[in-house]
Amino acid sequence: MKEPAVKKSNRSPLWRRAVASEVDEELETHLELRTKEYEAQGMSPEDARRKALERFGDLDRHAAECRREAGVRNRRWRWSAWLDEVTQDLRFTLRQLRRRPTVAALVVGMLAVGIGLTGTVVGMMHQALWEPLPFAEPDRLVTIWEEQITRGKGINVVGPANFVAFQDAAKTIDRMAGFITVSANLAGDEGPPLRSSFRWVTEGYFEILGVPPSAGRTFTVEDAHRQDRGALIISHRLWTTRYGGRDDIVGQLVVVDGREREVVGVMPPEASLDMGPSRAPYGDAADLWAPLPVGDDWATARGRWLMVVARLAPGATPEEAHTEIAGIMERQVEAIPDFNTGWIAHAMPLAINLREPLRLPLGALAGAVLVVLLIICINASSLLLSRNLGRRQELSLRRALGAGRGRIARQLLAEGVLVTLLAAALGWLFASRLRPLAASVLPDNLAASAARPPGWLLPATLGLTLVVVLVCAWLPSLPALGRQTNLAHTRALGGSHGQHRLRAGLVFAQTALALVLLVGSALMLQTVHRLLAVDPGFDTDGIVSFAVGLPRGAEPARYRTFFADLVAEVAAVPGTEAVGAIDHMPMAGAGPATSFRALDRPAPEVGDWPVADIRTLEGDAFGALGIELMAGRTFDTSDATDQEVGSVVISRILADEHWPDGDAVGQEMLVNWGNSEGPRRILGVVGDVHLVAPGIQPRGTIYYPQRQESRQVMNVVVRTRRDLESLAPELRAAAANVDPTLPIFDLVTVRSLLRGTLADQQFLSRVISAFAVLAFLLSVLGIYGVTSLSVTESRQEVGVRMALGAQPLEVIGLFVRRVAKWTAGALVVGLAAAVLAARAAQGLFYEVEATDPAVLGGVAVLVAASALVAAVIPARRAARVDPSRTLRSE
Amino acid sequence: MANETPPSSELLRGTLDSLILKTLAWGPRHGYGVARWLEDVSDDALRIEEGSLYPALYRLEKRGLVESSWGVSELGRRAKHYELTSDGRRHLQRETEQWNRFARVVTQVLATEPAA
Repeated sequence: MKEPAVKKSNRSPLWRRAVASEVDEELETHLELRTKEYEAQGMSPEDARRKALERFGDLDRHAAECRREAGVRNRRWRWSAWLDEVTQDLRFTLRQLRRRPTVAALVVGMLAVGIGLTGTVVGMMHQALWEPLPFAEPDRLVTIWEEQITRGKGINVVGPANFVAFQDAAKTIDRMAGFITVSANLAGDEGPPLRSSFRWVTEGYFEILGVPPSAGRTFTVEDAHRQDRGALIISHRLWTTRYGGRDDIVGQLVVVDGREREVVGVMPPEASLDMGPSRAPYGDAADLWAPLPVGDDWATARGRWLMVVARLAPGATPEEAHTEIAGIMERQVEAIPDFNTGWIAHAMPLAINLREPLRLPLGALAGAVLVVLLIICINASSLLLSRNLGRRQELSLRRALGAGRGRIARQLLAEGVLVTLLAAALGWLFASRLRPLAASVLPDNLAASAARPPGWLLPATLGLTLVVVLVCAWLPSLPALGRQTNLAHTRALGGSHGQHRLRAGLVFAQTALALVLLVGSALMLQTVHRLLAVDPGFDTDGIVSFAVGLPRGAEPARYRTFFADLVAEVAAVPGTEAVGAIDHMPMAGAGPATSFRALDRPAPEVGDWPVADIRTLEGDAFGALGIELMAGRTFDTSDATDQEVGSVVISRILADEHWPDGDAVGQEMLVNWGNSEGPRRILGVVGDVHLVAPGIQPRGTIYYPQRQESRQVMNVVVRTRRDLESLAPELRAAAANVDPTLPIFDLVTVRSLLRGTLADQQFLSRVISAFAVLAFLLSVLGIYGVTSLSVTESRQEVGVRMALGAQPLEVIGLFVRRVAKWTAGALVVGLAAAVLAARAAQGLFYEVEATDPAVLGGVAVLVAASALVAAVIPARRAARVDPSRTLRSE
Repeated sequence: MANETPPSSELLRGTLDSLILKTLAWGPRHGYGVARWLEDVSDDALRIEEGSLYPALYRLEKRGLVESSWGVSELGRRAKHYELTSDGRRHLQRETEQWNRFARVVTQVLATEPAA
């Protein structure tokens, strides 16, 4: 009898699913019928089911075979059969992973960390170094700088006279703008007075960058010459934080440094970008912009204070612009020899200018992370390798049962894919957790780059993971695919000689990599240690400072008395021991410098005048900062007024260089500084101070009294035993007593300024040291593991040798010699690689060479000694072998 | 995958195919029916792993020796029924003849006493 056909199996439209489920259904029907029959014989349902399954044989295998047969019945179904097999492989893999979860978890975890770290750092590098700048056609933007060749201090800001000459003559440049970033007090009804970063810009600045305003307009030519209210553009940040994102902001009147200004536009965030390498204490990211008129007096003005950005003419290259600007500068030297002799000029791409300082620290970080990723790959490899060795029996059996090599390769690939996906997912998760963390621990200059990951990072991470897994998870499984289909092989214990060498090779490659990190870490630690050991010439503990700026254009008399009053008021705060003020805090970036000459000898050639840093002081600044007085006296009230001969105090280097006989006090000098051009008499000599950073050698410095040469912004320095938090309200109150309209800003401890100058090195030394310790421990463990394994595998050999009279020490020597040979190789390769890497990062080090013998020797001894210990411990176990026992066990 | 099966199992597989075809010669059956019939007829002496019947049925279907269609089982579940095609019938006939010839030869060889 023929049953009515319900459905032809091969006409199912959802063929793949249908094949799978129909097979399952058919087999299940079989099992059900068999179970019922056993039950009829009086078995319990559980027993009946179990018996039915037993009788059926391997359900999974038969089902799979049916599916395959059903699949290849039709050529169109091939793909489905393949998919079926892959699903089967994946399911099998999952079962495998579940059965031995430790190895799988370790491999996935390690790869996830490696991928997360690499992804984070690559994302940072993209953000900081590779992403096009957020300006229109950023490749056409260049910056222009001057440089005094005799001084060797690198690039310098531009003199207005030269700016005008460049602007008039350069054909390779479409448009050029000068700017200068200062700080200003922003007042109004919206909140307390706010010290803001304030950038004066000449005409065309925003058009050159190609950043349109997000509201309102940019400056017009008339804006620069308005007599009534000045025009003002504010940043997106200021607009949202201070003005609550109000729509009617354009047209609003605000007060900047006492002058009423009208807001004409709001700039989007990218316009605030830091535009130069100098780091002003209040940060270079602008919040306020005002038009800077190019005056008729610029062509003859002295002094250098302009930063210059320019857009290249269509088709012009930065190199052509550089050649042309350098040529114009040569003519400027002839035109104004007393000002320009010894100076040259550069044009360089804006991107290089902004990014160069980040290249080395980020490169070092990326290098370290790459080494860590390699180490992780090596570890994952050797873990999977040893696991695959453990699975040789299973794999050989499967081959003997007829599984093709392709099928087994695919099985192992399925594992690779699964591990990849898991690791990538976890790595991505890890990276997304790491990013905010990175942004919080990174030094300020790098932190911004960690904030926003580029869009291509996810696919790139997946690609990277795939490569990593293919290399480090699949390749070690290839030995398992060898021709060993012989069942006899399946009984062999551990690995063959070749696999053993592969494992040992991996362990010592890892040791070599660990050496690179250890050397890098030792050099960074040395650098930080030596930088911290530098005596900066002032006290770094127990000093608090804050800044106050007077409005531009205030009464000259007010300038003179304001800071003196402020210092006196602060000195009245309980717990303050010495109080003074200085225009540029040490350790807070470069400050002003100028040329001078001693009056007791003939004048040097124009352009050959020596250069000194200039600092302006009020009150007991030397005492508050702990700068030592070496001869003469410091300023006092008798230096207050405008005298015919002004007063200065100079630093020891300057005194020693010009008055080596020690008679500097009382001598007179001419200094190209400030308003008075008269001679200045040296009152005293003080100790040398590292003004910029501990790693930058002190230069000759000339100190001016503020009352003779006023500055607009001064930092009050307070020597105190009290901490910053408890002191802050009283300092604010003291400042408000003198003038409640002036905000105080940059309230910091001197210690934190010092830390800021060391941030890059300190951060890198910490990260690389952590990596190095981890890598070192892993490689020691690896050496221990490899020796252990070879001890276990050579029990018989050792037993025979000992039966033949070998002493325990000889047995230990047997294993230790092997490790020593490998370690020696790792040392040679690792140290060579470390020196190469360190050479590339030399700019990060201070007073320590890449080839520092103490560092290299110390690291080599540490690694060699640890490797030997890691080898001796398991080798001693071999020496304790009882020969009669091991021989009998065979 | 398993293209290089050893000769012994090839023989067994071919034999299993013949047995299945023979079972279906009496009319369409589902897989369990095939298993039960073989069990009854052989007094369970063959002890065939029941699961292996199904790949064999699928293989036969692929070669066009049997056809399948979905019907209902004794328990009211959906069950797949197999039926001999005319190709299958001819194949069974050929196989039976071959097997008989083979068995005859083997019996003859085994029955021959060594010459004294």
